[in-house]
Amino acid sequence: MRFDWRVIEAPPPPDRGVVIRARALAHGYGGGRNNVSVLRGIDLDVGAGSHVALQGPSGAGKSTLLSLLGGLEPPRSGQLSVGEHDLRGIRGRALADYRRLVVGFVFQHFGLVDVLSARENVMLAMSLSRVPMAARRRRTDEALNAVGLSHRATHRPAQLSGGERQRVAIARAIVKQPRLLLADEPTGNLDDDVAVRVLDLLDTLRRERGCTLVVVTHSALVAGRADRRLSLHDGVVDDGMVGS
Amino acid sequence: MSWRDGIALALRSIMRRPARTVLTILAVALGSGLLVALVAIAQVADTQVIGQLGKGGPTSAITVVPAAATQAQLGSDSAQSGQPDPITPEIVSTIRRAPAVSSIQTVISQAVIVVPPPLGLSIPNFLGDDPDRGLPRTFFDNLVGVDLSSASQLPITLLSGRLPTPGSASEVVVTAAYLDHLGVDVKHPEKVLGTVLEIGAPQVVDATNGTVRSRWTRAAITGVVAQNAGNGNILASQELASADRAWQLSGVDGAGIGLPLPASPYAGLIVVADSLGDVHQVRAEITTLGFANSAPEHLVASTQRYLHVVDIVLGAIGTIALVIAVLGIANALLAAVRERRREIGILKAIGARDGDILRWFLTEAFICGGIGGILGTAFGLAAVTLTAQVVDTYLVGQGLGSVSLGGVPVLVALIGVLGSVLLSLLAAAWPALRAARLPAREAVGAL
Repeated sequence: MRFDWRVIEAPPPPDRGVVIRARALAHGYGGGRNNVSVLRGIDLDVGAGSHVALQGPSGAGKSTLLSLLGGLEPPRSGQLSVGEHDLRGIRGRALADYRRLVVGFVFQHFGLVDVLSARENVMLAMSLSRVPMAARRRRTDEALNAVGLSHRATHRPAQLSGGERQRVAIARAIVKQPRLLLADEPTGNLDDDVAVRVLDLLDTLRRERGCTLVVVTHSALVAGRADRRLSLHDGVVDDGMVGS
Repeated sequence: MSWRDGIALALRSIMRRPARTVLTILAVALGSGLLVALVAIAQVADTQVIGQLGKGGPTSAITVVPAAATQAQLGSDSAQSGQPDPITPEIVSTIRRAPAVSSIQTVISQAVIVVPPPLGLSIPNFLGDDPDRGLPRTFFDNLVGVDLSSASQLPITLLSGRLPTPGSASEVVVTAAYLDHLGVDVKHPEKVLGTVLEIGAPQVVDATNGTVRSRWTRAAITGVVAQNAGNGNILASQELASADRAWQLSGVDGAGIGLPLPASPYAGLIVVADSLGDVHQVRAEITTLGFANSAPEHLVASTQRYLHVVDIVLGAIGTIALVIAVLGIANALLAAVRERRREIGILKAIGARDGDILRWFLTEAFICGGIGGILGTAFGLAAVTLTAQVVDTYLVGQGLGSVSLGGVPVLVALIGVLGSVLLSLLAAAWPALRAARLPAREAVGAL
């Protein structure tokens, strides 16, 4: 298997303006006596183009932090911004635009639409942006080629292996050319060989596109590829574990 | 998301649960089919009932009789006749020029002796004929002469056979009363078709000694009708009746022996108003001219009110059926929202707006409602056509006039399809809104 990343069209210049900034960021679920605090006052700065690995035990708040960064829910308190986007105040159409134009998601369980083929899943991301059909087709072919799945383009998720599904999910994320790529256990369902290639792909994307990569992982292999590692414990970033 | 992509996604989603989709569409089809069938049947019934009041002619037809109108005329549907008053060609011209008059048909009536088969041209003493010995059942009647080229404007219903050729002097049609004279079962009017009768128009030569001679015409019976154009059981062309009338007028007055010369050139007029709504105005004009007249305007008005109530009830039943059916769409979509929480979340996570999700679900409802509406409308119209054929066969078998659908009721078909789509969209609004408002984080179980 060979990923030909270079067939992707020329990348835009790196956007050094993208930066994650969190101050006293707190979040939780439920209310009253059922209130569960998941994040407890996180202060965090991530430079544009960084590759950050988020680690920590289950329930530490890694996926919640990823969810807040992706604009899937607003934080309860504190400040959180990605570039010029203040994620505390953003709502409605602006929030959808943020998710569509700024963020790319790679879900642990792929997050593919079952009734669509691999190609259609990738195209869906651009359909939401109303990219012209010709450009949509070209970029979809390039993205699928980049993840080595051109020959499986017409297959539906149920007809693909776990690794292939994950690569479709990555193709869907990168085809939008996001400035911030969020990945939750992107190699959790892959064998080591495929996992390394997926990580190579993400790394290439980050280098060539200047996109910021935040990866939630339990894997030392994945964390080792990051240029910065953060550990979350009980909703707090453990500074002692930060390194590069 | 573009409409094209939304439709494609909706189609794929619909096909994910084919059995549920088929059942949902069938429910809508049954509902819309019932609505279309009931409304169409109600419309046909309205037309037939109102048409029946016109007795085969236009409902807006007014019958004018050669008699003076009384003061109670306009308040009554029937002719309120006073003293005889001849209808002259000048009167006809005056009425023809009145506003809202569409057409006028003149009716001539001539007293005749009718000799049905077996025939005998010479009837020296017809009052003594004995049917039991095979002699003709001769009887007195009136020959009604009308312009047969305008039969559709006259209160004539063809029960069997055909009308005489316009202008023909050798063809007539008869009413059911003629069958009674012959002892023929009225359910089998075809038995008299093609038979020949003789019609004798009397002419009084000498009233003092009762000398009468007749002008005999032999005519074939081409059909059996129900008619209210004039008072008589033999209907013929106006030419034949006019000739017989001229023959009688060339004699002397036989009032003393029961054969008076006809005083009025016309035995009546059939005046057709522009519309049902104009009938009262035209009747008022005719009454002002001094002639008694009749038209079922009050009966039609009250019948229309009753029919309108029936229409509302039938329409309501159909609408309720359709509403119940489209609630199935709401139920199916609610189930779909539950099933697709994860997909909705994924779409939102990659940038779908609430409107995109809304469009996705509404498009599904539109497709189901549209297909169901089209199928149901086709089914409903087919059911109505079949029903009409069964009813028509029954009515004709009973010797009654046939029923006609009058073509595909386009408006009803449109109501069936558009109503299904509109109600489906309304029913889908809540599930679609619920889907659109799902929080992205709650929906994304995959993260």
